[in-house]
Amino acid sequence: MTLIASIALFFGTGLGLTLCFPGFEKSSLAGRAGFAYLLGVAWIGLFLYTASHFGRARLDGPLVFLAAFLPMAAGLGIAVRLLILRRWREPAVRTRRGALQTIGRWGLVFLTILISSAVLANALTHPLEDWDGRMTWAAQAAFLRDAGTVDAEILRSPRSFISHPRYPLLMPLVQVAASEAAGSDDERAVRAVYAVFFPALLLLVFEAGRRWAGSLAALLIALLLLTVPWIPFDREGGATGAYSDLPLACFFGGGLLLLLRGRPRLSDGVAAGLLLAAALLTKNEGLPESLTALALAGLGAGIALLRRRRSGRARLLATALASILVLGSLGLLVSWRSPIPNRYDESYFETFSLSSFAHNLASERPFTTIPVIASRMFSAEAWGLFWWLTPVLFLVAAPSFRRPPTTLLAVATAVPLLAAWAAYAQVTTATYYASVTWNRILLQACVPLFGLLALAVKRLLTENRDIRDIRDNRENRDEKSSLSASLIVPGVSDVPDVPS
Amino acid sequence: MALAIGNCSRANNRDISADVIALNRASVLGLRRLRIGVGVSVLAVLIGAGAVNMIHRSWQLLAEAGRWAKLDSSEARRRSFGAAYTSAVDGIRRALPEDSWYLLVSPERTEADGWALWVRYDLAPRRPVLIQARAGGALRSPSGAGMPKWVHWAVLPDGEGRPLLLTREEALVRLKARDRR
Repeated sequence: MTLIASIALFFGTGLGLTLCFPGFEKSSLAGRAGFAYLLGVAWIGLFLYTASHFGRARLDGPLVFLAAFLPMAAGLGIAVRLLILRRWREPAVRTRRGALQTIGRWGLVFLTILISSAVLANALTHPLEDWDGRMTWAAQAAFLRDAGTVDAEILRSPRSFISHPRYPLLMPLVQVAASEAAGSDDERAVRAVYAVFFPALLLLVFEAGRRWAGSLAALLIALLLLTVPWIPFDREGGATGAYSDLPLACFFGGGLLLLLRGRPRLSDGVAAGLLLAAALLTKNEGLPESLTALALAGLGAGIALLRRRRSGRARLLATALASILVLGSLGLLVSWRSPIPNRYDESYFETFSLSSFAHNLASERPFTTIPVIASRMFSAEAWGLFWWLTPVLFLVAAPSFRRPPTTLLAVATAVPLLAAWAAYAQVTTATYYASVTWNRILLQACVPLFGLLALAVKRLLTENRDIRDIRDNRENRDEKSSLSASLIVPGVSDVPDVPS
Repeated sequence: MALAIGNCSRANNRDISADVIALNRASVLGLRRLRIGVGVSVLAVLIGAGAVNMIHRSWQLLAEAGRWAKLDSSEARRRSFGAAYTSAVDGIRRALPEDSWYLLVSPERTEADGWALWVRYDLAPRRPVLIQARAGGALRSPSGAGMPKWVHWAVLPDGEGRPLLLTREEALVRLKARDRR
């Protein structure tokens, strides 16, 4: 039971935050639950990072309790106030659904519970066995917890054997918080935290689909996500391991989703800022991804302002607030990282020069990764039929790029892939890196990618409805014309028209 | 007469153009129907086949978890990594204080580099200094620095991949003997 305490810590904290942020009133219950978990993880990770580095506070149980207590108490206060003022949102009026949609909903619930339970059960019974989890993330967490600070001597000592000592530490701090909440060193409590990122991602994708393409398209793309085995079951990047790619995918996707709302509130900007700041402090790729999300949101706001839409100002303010939080976390990262000598790392940037980068990018080196990339994507074991058939879906129902979310989502999907391509151009063992990272890069782009899929499914559904309408109209017309023909009596001209 | 012919041909033209429009509409409609049919089939195949696969794999994972549920943390580690390896790690954890530094000697074979990473995690938060055997039998860190004299303990692999805790001097003797062989 204590192993589950770590999940309750993050979920309770995040639930408090979603009550504090009025923007989440518009979200579905599923979307709110997904955001609650992500915000809880982001908040506690950021709080511990900042308090330990800038405040010199000791990383221990009381600090974790303080981090969780503040939003939980605030959220509880707001919940009580809403209950007293009877402003609790009324349950939505149930719309009638077709039989197929009802079956789909129950199927989604069944599959979500089954797959999430399987992932969680694996996490709660097996020790940590994945490569990066043991090499980097969980090892760093053990060193930080022992030292009681993010500025541990072992990170700064050039002689110590630490893999990737300058990698950002948000997820190791989350592991520290999970261990403190569980009150033990049992790594299964930590694994449970990663396992819950899978249902959180699913709820996020569902919410994204609902927002951009309606509830039926959301249902279908959530079912599609549930058919990809790699995301929940793979140990080297999926939810059964302790890699940081799944958390990064959730933070990046969640921040993007909040900022691309039609008319975001200020609280959406703060929530998006927390998620994007967490993305930046989760992995190195978080920096380009967070900046991309902010740039796309800024672009959307700029276009809305130029077109004199009322939403322009709200979008600009939300983006500005998110940018402040992201810049703050960038400052924290730079300040924390500067005294740490780099070692046991790929050192992409130590040999970096613009001319060699341009030369490598144009060379055949990155192109040598294409067979590896293809073998990863078309592996039925990893992706099922996903990459075999979704291109066909895009071919027959490509969403219109003239509509704003499509272009923005396409750019957000492309950025992690292009960043990986650029990194492959820089390393001599490009095919090896592609073989161990490509699936994880695809995962990072998961939320905008499934957003695009939702738009394609929406187009399919709209066209299907249009054709049904045309057919119904034609049948009505035929019925009417046959009716009027039967009413025409030869020689009688004053037959009244059949009302149309 | 001419007027009648003209009227007749205009009526014919109108009929023909209406037919062409209807044909065009029908072909566009047919194409749209085909696209929708393909799209819906793709979705049905993806979701149907994928759901069956995922139910099967989830069930396997749940069944396996059921078998492991009775094991405590150390027994689960023993089953995952082997009894000999786990006992060796537990022995070192008892003997070596948590705040101590140790020399972690990497195995000779480069493909066994993962060994050092695995042992480092299992012995954390004890602080490792990585040492590798260089050409000529010299022992150096990967950066080329010598073995630090202030570190009194060393962990190195025995012949079967189990970590072995020795004093620095014992480790040096053992490594020199290994080089001679």
